[in-house]
Amino acid sequence: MDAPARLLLACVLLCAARAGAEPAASGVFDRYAGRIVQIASLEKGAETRSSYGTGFYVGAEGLLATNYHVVSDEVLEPETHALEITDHAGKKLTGKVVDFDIIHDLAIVKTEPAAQIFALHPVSPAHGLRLFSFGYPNDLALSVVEGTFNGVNRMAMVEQYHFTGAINPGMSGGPAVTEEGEVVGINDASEGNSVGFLEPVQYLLPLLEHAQKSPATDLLARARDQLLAYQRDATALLLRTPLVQRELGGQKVPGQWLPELKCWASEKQAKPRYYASTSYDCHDENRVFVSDTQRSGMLRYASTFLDGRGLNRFHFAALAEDEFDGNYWRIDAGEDDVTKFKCHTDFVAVNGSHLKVAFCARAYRRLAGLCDAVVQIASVDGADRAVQSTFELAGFTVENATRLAQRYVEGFTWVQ
Amino acid sequence: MGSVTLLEIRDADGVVVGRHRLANLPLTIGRGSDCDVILDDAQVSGSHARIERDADGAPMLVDAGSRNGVLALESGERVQSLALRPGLRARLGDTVLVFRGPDEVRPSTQAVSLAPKGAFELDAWKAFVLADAAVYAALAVTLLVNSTRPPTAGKILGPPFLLAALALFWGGVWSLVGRLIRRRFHFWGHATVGALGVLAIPVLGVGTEALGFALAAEDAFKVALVLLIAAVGAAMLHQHFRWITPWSPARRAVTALGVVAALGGVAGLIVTADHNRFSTGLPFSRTLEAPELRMRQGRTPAEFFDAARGLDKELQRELAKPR
Repeated sequence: MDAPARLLLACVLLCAARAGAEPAASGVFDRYAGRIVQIASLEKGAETRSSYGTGFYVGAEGLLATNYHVVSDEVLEPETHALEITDHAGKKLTGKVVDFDIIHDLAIVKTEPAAQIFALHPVSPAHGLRLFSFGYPNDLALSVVEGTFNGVNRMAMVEQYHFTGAINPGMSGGPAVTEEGEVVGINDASEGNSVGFLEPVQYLLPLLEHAQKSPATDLLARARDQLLAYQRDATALLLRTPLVQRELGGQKVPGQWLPELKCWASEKQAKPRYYASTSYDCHDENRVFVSDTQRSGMLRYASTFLDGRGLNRFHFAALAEDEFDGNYWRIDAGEDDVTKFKCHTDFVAVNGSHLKVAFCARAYRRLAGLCDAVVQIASVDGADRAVQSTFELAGFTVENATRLAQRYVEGFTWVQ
Repeated sequence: MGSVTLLEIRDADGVVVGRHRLANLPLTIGRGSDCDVILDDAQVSGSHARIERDADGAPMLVDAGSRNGVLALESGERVQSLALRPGLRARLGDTVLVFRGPDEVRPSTQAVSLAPKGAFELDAWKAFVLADAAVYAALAVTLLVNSTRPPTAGKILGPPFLLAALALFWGGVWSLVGRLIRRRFHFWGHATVGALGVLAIPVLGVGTEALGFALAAEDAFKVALVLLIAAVGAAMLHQHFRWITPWSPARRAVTALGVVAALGGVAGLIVTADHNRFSTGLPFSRTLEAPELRMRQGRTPAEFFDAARGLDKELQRELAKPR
């Protein structure tokens, strides 16, 4: 057989194999499409859609599961927003948020009862399991995407399922099910190139139970309580874990605080060669979605060692001043979410090191008692060497942020 | 005390422009053509003053209801009348009247400065060169302290050259105004004052920044810098007014402070509006200086974060502000 003929045969075989698999996806679609709806957030008055996502029936009483971020406008600004639900038959329904889990980005919406619902069971999926993810990608018609369960993405405080398959905007809140219709997870986020994340179904079970027993009335208070509980647990976890030190340019800086944090080191040489810098950066991948403009529940810190040997002390100080706060990431938040930052600045002496430290915080406007906090640190010990650092927390009380920041500052040692 | 027999008229630069014998009193003095002594001075009223005898027959200089008044030069105060004696000096507008007795040595025509004795004379090219040299030195220090790399020739020569040009231009504008208002020109004086003003900015800027860092009190020293610059501005205006107006020192001071306060108010409004705007930036001072400049002892972390708990109250206040 010559080469083109062999290719043709290979294609025929492969296509046959694909054709054999296809009834599974189309069967799955036909079986479950009726249990899935599109959820849009409408701006009252203008009647324009400010966001849209997917939901699916999980309770006989007309309860839908979706992502919190699909219905956040309804939670934060109920007087200006309403939900519009469109079922698979095209029928428009109204809906109301009855409960949510802001940390795991899940919500329960009550609407009219449906004929068929998904039964939820705790599952522990096998690595490589074939899953079918449902949703309305980019506001198109209901679609099903086939993909693979690829294990658990463990972060400091929460877990997500790693799903290899194309989850696109608009599919958020849709179910990822097995061929048998077992819900494994809820579509949540995508990092592009078929790297997607699902919220595990076990977080949905207690939420559904709670929504059936006692629907939440004060939604804002519920969001606040959940964030407060989350930061309380995170603070307790961090405070009971010793903060190990790490060497950076011969000095000692805070190292990897928790095994789940992603930590990186990098080096940079300024051109022309006035100074060299070495950086160390750690962060938790989790972000709690609060509003379109605000993220919370974050921890991130980074240190840089500046080596300006060859510069005189004045030039080096000017350089260090330029670099100061160069590590700062802006934590997402808008004018409706938070106040401006307020800072407290002074010199701090710790472990032989003299640090210029600024502790800055801004308060959450809607979720009272929470804040974002940033600590900016610059050593003032060496005439031509310095350590600079940033420590950032989103969604903590001032009290807890202060305790964690103190622990962080105590993690610096100046080695002569 | 001898009697007064001669009235000597001098311009504001002290140059004698005329003498008048005091024989037949009363005598009227003013800018108007119906006066006995006619003064060529825009600041003098049509009928400004009279010289007449009081009930005891002693000669007096009396304000005849003038706009700018009669000033006793010794005290600088505006007076209604002055008893005449040899050597007495009075000021009408920009004109100085000197009263002389018959036994006085024939007065010379040499110019006499109106400036108080012992004061540093600003109105001289030497003063300008000195002030400009100081600007050069201050900028060199600033450049050394604030740049991150060795400065280029352009950086060394450019700014001082520009600032010298600015001071000269500044002097030129004020001289022109003086020329229009008082027909006199104090170019080097105005330029020197301009150069001293330019000097104040780097000196005060670097000084307050270094002290703010040393004491970890950058915000307080930023306020101090603004107040000091306002004070320098007022002092400059006070000096410029001296050459372009006939005002008393008190009036010059009040006007200068008023102008600075008005400008400060406008700037304050702009800064406040800017300050109230939402921002995700961190409002703390990034100033870093050589380690030796640090004067304040470091707190322990516990002390620092105890003090930082006060931020909670500040945030509550921020939340309470109407939006």
